[in-house]
Amino acid sequence: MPSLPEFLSQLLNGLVVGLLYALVALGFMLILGVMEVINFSHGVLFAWGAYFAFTLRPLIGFWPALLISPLIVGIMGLILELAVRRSYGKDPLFGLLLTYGAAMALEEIIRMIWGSVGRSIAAPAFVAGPIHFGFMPYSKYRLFLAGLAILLIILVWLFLEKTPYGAIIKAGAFDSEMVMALGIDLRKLRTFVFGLGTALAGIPGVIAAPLWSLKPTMGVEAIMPAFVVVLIGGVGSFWGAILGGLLVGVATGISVMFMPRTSQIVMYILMAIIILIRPRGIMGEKSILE
Amino acid sequence: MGPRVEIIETRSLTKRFGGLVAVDQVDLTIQESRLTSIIGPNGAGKTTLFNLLSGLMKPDEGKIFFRKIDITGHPSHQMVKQGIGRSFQLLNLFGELTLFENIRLAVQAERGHGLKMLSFIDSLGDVNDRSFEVIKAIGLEGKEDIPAKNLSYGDRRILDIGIALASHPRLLLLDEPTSGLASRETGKMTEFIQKLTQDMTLVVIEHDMSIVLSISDHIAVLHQGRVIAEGTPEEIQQNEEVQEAYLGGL
Amino acid sequence: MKRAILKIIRHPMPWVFLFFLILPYLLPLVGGYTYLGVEVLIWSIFALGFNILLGYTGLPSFGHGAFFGIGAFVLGIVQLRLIQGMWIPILAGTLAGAFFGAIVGLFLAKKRGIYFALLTIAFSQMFWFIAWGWDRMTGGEDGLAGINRLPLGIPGLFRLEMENLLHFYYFVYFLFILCTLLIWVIVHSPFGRTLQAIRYNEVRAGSIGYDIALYKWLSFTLSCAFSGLAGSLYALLRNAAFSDVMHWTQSGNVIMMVLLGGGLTNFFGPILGSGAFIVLRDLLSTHTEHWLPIYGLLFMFVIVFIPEGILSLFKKEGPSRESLVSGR
Repeated sequence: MPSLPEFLSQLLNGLVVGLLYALVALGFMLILGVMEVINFSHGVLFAWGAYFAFTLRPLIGFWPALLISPLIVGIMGLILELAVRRSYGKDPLFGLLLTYGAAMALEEIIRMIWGSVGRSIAAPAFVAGPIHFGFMPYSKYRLFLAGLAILLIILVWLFLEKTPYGAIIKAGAFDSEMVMALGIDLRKLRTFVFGLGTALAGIPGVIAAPLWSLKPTMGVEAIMPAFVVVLIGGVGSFWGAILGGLLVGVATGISVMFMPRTSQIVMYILMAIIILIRPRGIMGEKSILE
Repeated sequence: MGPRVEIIETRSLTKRFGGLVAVDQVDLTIQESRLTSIIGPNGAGKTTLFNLLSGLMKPDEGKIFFRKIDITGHPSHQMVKQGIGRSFQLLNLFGELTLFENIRLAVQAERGHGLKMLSFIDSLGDVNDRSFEVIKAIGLEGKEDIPAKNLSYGDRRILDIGIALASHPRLLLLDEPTSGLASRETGKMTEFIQKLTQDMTLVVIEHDMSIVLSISDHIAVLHQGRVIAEGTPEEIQQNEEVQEAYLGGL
Repeated sequence: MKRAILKIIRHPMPWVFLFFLILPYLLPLVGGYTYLGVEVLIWSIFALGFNILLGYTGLPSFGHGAFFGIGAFVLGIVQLRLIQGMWIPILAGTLAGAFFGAIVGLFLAKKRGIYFALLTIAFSQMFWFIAWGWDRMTGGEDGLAGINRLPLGIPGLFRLEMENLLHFYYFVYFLFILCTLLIWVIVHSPFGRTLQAIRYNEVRAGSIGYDIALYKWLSFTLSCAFSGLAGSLYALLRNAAFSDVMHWTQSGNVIMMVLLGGGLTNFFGPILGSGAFIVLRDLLSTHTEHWLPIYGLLFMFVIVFIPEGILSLFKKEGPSRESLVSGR
């Protein structure tokens, strides 16, 4: 039985990871909502974010790497979008297949450049080490991570709530008078959203890199929780993604404590249960997926 | 002219979509062997009502009785087995398949052969024969091998109804059967519908008032999800509320 | 009589069977080897069965690799720990595929499109982790080695030494013929036509009296049974069941085979696609260790430019009533 500090500590870990999952899921869902494309390469782009950080940080420092890596990932996303845009309007299956192929290619390229061996990167010096909450030490870095993640989530929320682009995305109205009235070029919107969405995968990759060892397969390990989060939280629901992410993070974290062997499949069991009770996810409504 | 049986009875039938109440506490009775028309302005809830009656949607409140049996919330495939057939306002065919295959699918379902995995479909003699019968009955013989999407619009409308007919319905719901038809074809369709009344009960959603008045035994008027009037064609023509609901009167 | 013979000759199936009959003798002529031939047969079984779900019912499963893997692992587990033999482990692998397919199918039967696809991915990952983590059963990262191909035969008549790859080839060939015929009958049966109706217009299919969820579930389960069978045979071929049989790329591979070969419009597409895939993979990997990116890019290329595959280039306009000749 874990002690109280251990338990709380793991719980917090779960929440922190959950926030990261929520971020990745948000980026994924933006692309899904606007383009109706399941971006299978979303996870691999997360991995690319991490690997860029690994390479760039020793060269240019933490903060520059944090800024530049997602930008590069975003640019990769834009290039990918050039191929993916051929699938718009077709059976959404095609977009999924395209990004599937891209994911395979991108993962292998990581292997080619950085090798298959796991790498690790340490937390930056200014947030290394523990912080003490009375009886309980906790990793400063994880708190920093959580803070960044929350900041980003707030930024995404502001984008959705306060900008014209966001209004259109929320309304799901991509071919209406609303678009024309606001003078928005739909193609630019799509391109922008794809870039934004993939950058939203890259950033968690960068900041999470010190937590997990870097390996080429970390992409799949990031995309799966994103799928599960979207299925649990409900497609198209901002708060569903947050809630789903936290749930998955906490469930995984707790199971690591008590039943470590099942920790990786706990999220799928959770998903299965929720789908049985609420087929559209906790906060989902009838969506483009149906 | 014995007592009429109520083939459909709805009680407080309600369906909401978010904040919008599409069907609002509808109490409706359809008499067997008559042709009842449902009319009303666009958005009055007519197609939603059909969706509820045919099992495509589940009501939020209320009940539906089919010949006194509670069928509320049953899925569409069960409704068909009960004897409710339905055609669609926006054509709903198996476009890639031929006319024959479209009908055959419905006949196959009705005969209960759907789960046969180990026989060839072409070998089901009774299904094939019955399919030809239906095609003849709807007047489209000779066009069996044409893919449905290549048929003329008028023929496709008839096919849409034909598919529903192949299931031997006792009650047939026709959703705007003359929609988009040229005037010559409209006459053909109207005749076709009138012939159907000899064998089954019909409920028709229709916008063309001259057709409604000529074929209906009974008319129900829907407005904003509620039944605002019911009666014979004469009664409805004189009803003021109905005239108000339809700007410009009848 | 003459008409019957003509009909048979004009049909692709006897030619396909003939081709695979003599394939082991053709392969060395082009620098190939029997092992590749067996692989093509196994993947063809996998892809044909999978196409019941994808091509005929229109349901996009991205997780069928899991059932292929389940077939492989169950064969290994049964053969190594329970009953030495061939038929029973193969049967076990097939039934395991069907069983788990049936369970997963319950979650999927009322879904379609992207929702369906996402769920299949999630479930297949779940099975992956179970196989990876349950190392007492599955050998975990190392997998199960030491799977044997035991001799089969009818005492007094003949005996096939399965360790001899050529004999094993013809054993798989025999199963391939059975599966192809079985799947042909299934997709041309009333059931098969109903599946197509669901692909073309699910709503209308329900409106004429078909219980859509039931048919989708059956289609899924059947396709998983064939995946399990293929997986079992694959484990026999490699004399081992490694965790890579369940990797997510296997699911993509079988989709690629169906699409590449034109399985969306032609019954034999999956077979052509399997052959093309194996050839491609072999060619690419002899030239470079890092053939995956090329494969990935090729995958994308196929999707973008020839989504309906090679055979669609030869597609006839619309289905014909003479289903035995048209091949669909």
